[in-house]
Amino acid sequence: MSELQLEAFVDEGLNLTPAYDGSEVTLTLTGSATVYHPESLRSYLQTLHAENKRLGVKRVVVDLRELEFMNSAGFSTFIDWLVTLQEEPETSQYMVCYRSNAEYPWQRRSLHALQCLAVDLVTIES
Amino acid sequence: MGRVHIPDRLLAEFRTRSLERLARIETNWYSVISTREAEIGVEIEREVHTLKGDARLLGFHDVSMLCHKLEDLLRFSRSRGYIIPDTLDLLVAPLVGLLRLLLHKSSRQPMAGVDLVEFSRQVDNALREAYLAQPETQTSDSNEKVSMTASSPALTEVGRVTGRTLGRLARLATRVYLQGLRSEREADRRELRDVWISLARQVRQMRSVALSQVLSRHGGMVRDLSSRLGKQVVLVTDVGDVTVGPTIVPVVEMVASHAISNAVDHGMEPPDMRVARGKAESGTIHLKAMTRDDEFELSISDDGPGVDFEAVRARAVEQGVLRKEAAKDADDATLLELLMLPDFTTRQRATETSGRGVGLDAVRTSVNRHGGRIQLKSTAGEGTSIVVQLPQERQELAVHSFVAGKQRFAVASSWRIARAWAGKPDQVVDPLECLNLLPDNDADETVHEPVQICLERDGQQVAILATSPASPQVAERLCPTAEEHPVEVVLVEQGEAILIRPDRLAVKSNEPQ
Repeated sequence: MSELQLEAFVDEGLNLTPAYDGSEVTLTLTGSATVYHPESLRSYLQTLHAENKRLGVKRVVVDLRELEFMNSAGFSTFIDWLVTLQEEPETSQYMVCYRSNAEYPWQRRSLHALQCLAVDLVTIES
Repeated sequence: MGRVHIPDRLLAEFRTRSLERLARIETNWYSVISTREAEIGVEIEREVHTLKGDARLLGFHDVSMLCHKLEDLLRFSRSRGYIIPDTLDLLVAPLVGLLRLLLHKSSRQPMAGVDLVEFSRQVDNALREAYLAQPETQTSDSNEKVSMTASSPALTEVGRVTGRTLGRLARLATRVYLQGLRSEREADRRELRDVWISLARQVRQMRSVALSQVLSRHGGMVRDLSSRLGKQVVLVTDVGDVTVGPTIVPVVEMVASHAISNAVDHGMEPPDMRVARGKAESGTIHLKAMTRDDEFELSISDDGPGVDFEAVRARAVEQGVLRKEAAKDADDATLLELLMLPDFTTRQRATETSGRGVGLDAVRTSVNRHGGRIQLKSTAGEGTSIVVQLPQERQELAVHSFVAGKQRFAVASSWRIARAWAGKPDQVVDPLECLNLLPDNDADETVHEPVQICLERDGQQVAILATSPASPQVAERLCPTAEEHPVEVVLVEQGEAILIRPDRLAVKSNEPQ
């Protein structure tokens, strides 16, 4: 089994921990992120996308249950990742499942809005 | 109604420009949310407004619709001083993402997997909730009028200079000018007038936009296009500190975009061909600008193969533009003129980057409309250049001009000369008295029979005391003050005149100017 070649991301109050179990990737986010310099996070997610393609992953779980807050600059990097995914040929696409926390109201509308960009690829669990 | 065919070239340009615009919108959004600087918000609104208009014009109706939603969101944010709920803030990124997706796709048909209807509903709901949660309160910026015209001073910031700051400087300059008129000593008058000239010049310069800023994105455009076409092209820009007025900016952008995409697409050989012809592997496009008197010149030249004049001759005959004999005798200048005709091209097939000759024709039309000239030059084997001369922006205003005492005045022609005076005596304005310009000793003054000029606008009547009847003129605005300010200095028939706003002058007549 190939390994996921991606370290954890820690910056600007945000922690991202990736895990790969041989079939799906789980990305767990914790902290409260006010991102001022989204470039490194954007680059991290693009690397994750490349890894997902390399490994032929069909499902990625993004666990936001422990993420208290993320500002719009940080959130935009997830949008960019989704735009990249949406523009891939169908054979390179994978599903993304967001696990949200109903206690954090910011997640509800922003995730539903995000889902509108790729209704066939994004699911939300709460 | 059938869909209007849009040349690939225009579509490609629209996409490139719009994606860059979106990047600026997004960056500025994060900035305005953290700094709450209203000018940045105004800049975003201008960009969105332009994107919406372009999209509608080219049939990208989904893009236009989303821009409309973004405008709603921006309007709310502005009215709340950019202190808004997270749920609204977090809608901007997906909105921009959606716009990006819609712009990327090759067809203008709706895109699979994207739910625009649901997204719009979410924006509407979020806004409705926000309006209910945050009823409108007066913020420091909510009184500021925001006009979505490109020439609005509020939208022409350079660095951090805002329309409000420019307005304040213009008012100060006008005060200096008036103080000069009031001075008894000739030396004081001369000195204050000199100060006014310097201030007015400074304000004009600050209203202008640095050409380097306008053209900054074209380096990326050259890189993208050349890489897509398998060419190596370098853009060398030499524009120094040349500035242009805000209304000229779109013309300059259009000229540069068309000329550069043409140069990369048609005017530059692939690397191996260049080497075989004894040229450097990489082609170079030189973009130069300079100012001369009241106009500026922009030249864009490439070191490609130059125009194939024989192909132009053959095409002119084929298209019936020239007869065979005339084509044979036509000189280079005549043949180059043909390249700026609508639908004339030496190419049999349009490419994705460059369309069917629409570009140069459209560029020439736009340049001419702004009082400029365009010239195409080409030398076989050495390259082609486009030279554009455009007059520097002049802000003109139709006025009624008249004299009171020794001073020339003007009133905007939005005030109509009234046929009959139905106002009250206290609505008669003496501009000399209001502006404290009455001479202390009028013993030497020639006595003129006073003339009452009656004006009306929006149901309001004002009469102005003058010593000459009003005549229609065109005034050049040298240092524009805001509509709320009672006066500004303009140029009428090469002489300075005081533009008065009668309604404001009547209100402010007791205040120091």
